[in-house]
Amino acid sequence: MRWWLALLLLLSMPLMAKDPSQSMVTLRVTSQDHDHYSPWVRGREQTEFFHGFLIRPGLFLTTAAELAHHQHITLTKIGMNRRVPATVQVMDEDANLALVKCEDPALLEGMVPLEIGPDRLEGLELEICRLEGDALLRQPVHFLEPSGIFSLHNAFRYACDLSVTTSGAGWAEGIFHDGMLMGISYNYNGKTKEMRIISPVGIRRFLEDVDDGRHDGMVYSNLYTKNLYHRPHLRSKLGLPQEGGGVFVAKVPRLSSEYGLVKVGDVLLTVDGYPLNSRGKVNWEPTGPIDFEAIIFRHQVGEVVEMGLFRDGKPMVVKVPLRAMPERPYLIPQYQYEGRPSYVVYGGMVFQVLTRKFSRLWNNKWPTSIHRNLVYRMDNAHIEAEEGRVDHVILNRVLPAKVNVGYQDLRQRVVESVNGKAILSIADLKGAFDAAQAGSYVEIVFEGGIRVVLSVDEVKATQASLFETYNIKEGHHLP
Amino acid sequence: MKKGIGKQDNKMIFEQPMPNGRALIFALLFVLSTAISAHASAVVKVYCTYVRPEITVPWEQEYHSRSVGSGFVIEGQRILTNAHVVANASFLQVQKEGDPNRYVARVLFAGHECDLALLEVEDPAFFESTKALAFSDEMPALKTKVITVGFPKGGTRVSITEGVVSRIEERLYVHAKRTSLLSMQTDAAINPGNSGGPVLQEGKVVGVAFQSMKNSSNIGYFIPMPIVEHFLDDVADGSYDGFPDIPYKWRNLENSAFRRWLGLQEGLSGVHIYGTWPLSGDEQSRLKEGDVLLAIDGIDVANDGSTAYGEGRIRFTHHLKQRQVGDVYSLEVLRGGQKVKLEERASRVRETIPWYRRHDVPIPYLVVAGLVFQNIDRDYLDEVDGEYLRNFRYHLSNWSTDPLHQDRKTYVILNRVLGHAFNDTISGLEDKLLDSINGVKIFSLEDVRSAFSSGEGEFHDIRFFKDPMPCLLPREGLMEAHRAILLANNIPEEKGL
Repeated sequence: MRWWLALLLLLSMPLMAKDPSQSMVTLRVTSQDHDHYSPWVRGREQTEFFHGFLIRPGLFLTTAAELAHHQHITLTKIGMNRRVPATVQVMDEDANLALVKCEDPALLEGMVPLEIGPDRLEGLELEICRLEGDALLRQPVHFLEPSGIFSLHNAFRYACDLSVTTSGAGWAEGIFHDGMLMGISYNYNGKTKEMRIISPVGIRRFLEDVDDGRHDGMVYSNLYTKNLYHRPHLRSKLGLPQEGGGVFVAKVPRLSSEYGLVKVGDVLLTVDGYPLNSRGKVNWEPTGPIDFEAIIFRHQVGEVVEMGLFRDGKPMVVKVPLRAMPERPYLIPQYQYEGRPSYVVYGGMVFQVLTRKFSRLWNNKWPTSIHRNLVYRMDNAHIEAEEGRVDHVILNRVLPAKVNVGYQDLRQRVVESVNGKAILSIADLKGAFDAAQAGSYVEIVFEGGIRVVLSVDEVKATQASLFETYNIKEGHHLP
Repeated sequence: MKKGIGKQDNKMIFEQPMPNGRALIFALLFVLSTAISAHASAVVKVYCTYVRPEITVPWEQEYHSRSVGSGFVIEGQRILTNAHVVANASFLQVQKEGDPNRYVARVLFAGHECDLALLEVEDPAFFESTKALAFSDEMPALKTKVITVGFPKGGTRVSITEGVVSRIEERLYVHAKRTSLLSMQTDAAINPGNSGGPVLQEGKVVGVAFQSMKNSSNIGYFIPMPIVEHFLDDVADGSYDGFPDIPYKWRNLENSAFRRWLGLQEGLSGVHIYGTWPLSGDEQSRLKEGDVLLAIDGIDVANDGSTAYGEGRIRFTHHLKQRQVGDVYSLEVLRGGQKVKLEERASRVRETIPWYRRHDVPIPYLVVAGLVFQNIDRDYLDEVDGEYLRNFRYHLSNWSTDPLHQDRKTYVILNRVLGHAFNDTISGLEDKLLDSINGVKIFSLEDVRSAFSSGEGEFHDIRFFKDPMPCLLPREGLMEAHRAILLANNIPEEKGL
């Protein structure tokens, strides 16, 4: 390269970076999830458009949720007359961030990797950018507050997420300030006009995680705490000063990093030196008051967080090495972006793993639509995760056939045992069916004591015609 | 209008459809039948003023409301009507067709689960020139004509509608939602206000109109004579005991593999018993999990749970429910491959969480320094729901096998905290299940009362289920605050400590 060309490039870089369209691509994602009511059926495929942001050479940042069950991804940019294929490099469901890889020179030519903006959004001029055809639409937005969704009961957890106001939204749109990426949108409330974005803190943590070529994921910290706001009697009984903060530790799940180090009954006073107020908020420079978990979640796996506790009337400090998110921190996963539903069809009876996707077949009405015993399982998914159980195996429904006469009214029942063997996973169930000898019977006991008995020979003899009738290609799928 | 037929309640499956011009037809039908006019004088309009308790503010009442229903004079100078017509009545009047006077009436007995009530009228003048309606000795057959007489909406005078018996089977009685009992379906129009009126065939009473199905055409239900007679026999001794409950859980045996597995020979039939319910008075059913129930009172039970009944079939449970509580009846079961004859006492199941709607009963509660403690029941759950409480629906349906239930008489929750400087530090614990107070496990409101007088130290220590954080109330100053809160909220002294 000639020296003057290099100089020209160098001089023009900051200017170029001011234009977000030089770092943005349109992602065309074709996805296909299985039908969770008839799990042997591939669901309808759908194609949607999102955004990707060039963040490293050949790597585009986007939200993970939008890539769920992807089959085919293509990218295009302003001024390009075709789409080029891309692949998913990293997907982090917990952080809701992903990297999409595309090294097509035609796409990358003239594109400039983005810089991530400062942690603090407050007071900055922000704009939201989206691509529509060959145009870049830009619109000012206003920082509202750190929203801090850290509860495991919510759909996503982030190192730090924020709210902005805007008049409309798509998904995975970019928030920019002075040409720097300040966040990616993932949720929009049409009524309040509030948009949730993944903050620069969250994006930076994710990039730090993956930049070493290995994806460790988010740390698993999970303290169930209760506010000590306006609890003067409890404070005096515990020996805590009346003025001051801290939250009461009510539960420490077995798989969480704090297990064995923080105890039920401790009062959590500080995290990394940041004092907690009595509602569990810390005053963190980039955001202002935010849930204490934000301080923990910005760490990488293997790092140590320092927790100031008040135990047995005395303050103390524990160092908590942070573990990675386990594969199944809770019995019923909060989200499932990949994989197929697990099921076994036996004698026309459709057994499945109880998942959120199953309950969501009834949309928001699931608490009143599905059997109350399943609602109870959904509500207590995080409690039972620690009791050695892998799955709740349920009978979804019965595909009527002669072999299951008398049982066809049964639906949404939790399976307890098969031939006397406790069923703690879908694999247990398959194993128990396979172990049943020819000439014998299979006795299935459901929660509450209802029994179903099938003849192994009859099930075998009718399997082929039943599968043909109901168009079942595979009788089971295990994880 | 009142519950069942009349009440506006979205949660009910059965509800009275709104009138749709059918009132005009009533007039025509009235002209059609001259024989009916004789019966009409025994049919009365029931004017009810009722006051319901506020379920979540149990020392208060809702505003009083008024409703109109029907009833009819039966022998012994009594009036038979629906329980939902007179539930929570504070003032009752009855009026005969053609008589300008209203007479004050009183509820003698109300059987809410069978939706029947018996009224008396003090003024003997009411019964002058009134002939009691006679009960029919025979059950009306399917497709035979019946007429209903009553005072439905759409006018003020008596109304008569005609139809046939469309169906006979056990069905949930929605006023209490406690149990399913024999009921008859008819296409004779049954509208709000018909409730409690007689259903007649050949001049004799064959039932009492009581509920209909919403969003459907011409589906009305009446209470047939076996249920009416059970109610009248029950109260003959001066107290209402109700219908026996089915103390065992059962499923059909329609699957041949299941029958073979159980060793049920060809020619035998029955239902599979997969569990039992604890009975009141800590009794137990004689049936055991794994039994096959073959016959009840000598009547064979088919694999689908039905028994022969007249020209049709009916669920075997009907035969048990026709017994009075305390009666002994016989069962034949297959146990371990052997036929066994058993005798069982007809009983009620234990009611740790009442799963049905209750009427005419005060709501138990206890107030301590503004903390209102109450028992969980169906009415409370229907009134206050939410993610925490919806878990009780699980406990409610599984209570007989639920470890949470052991030794428990009731489930006590903190309903609300009545604001006062003394208890101002307690918040966010409303509707939560109590675990212990001062170390005493709480299984009833009585436990709450005694637990507060136990323990020592600066604070009362209240613990909630699965919540390790103590909720503390100072002992000092408690009684003073307690009295002030009772006074400020108009709560009777005896409901406190």
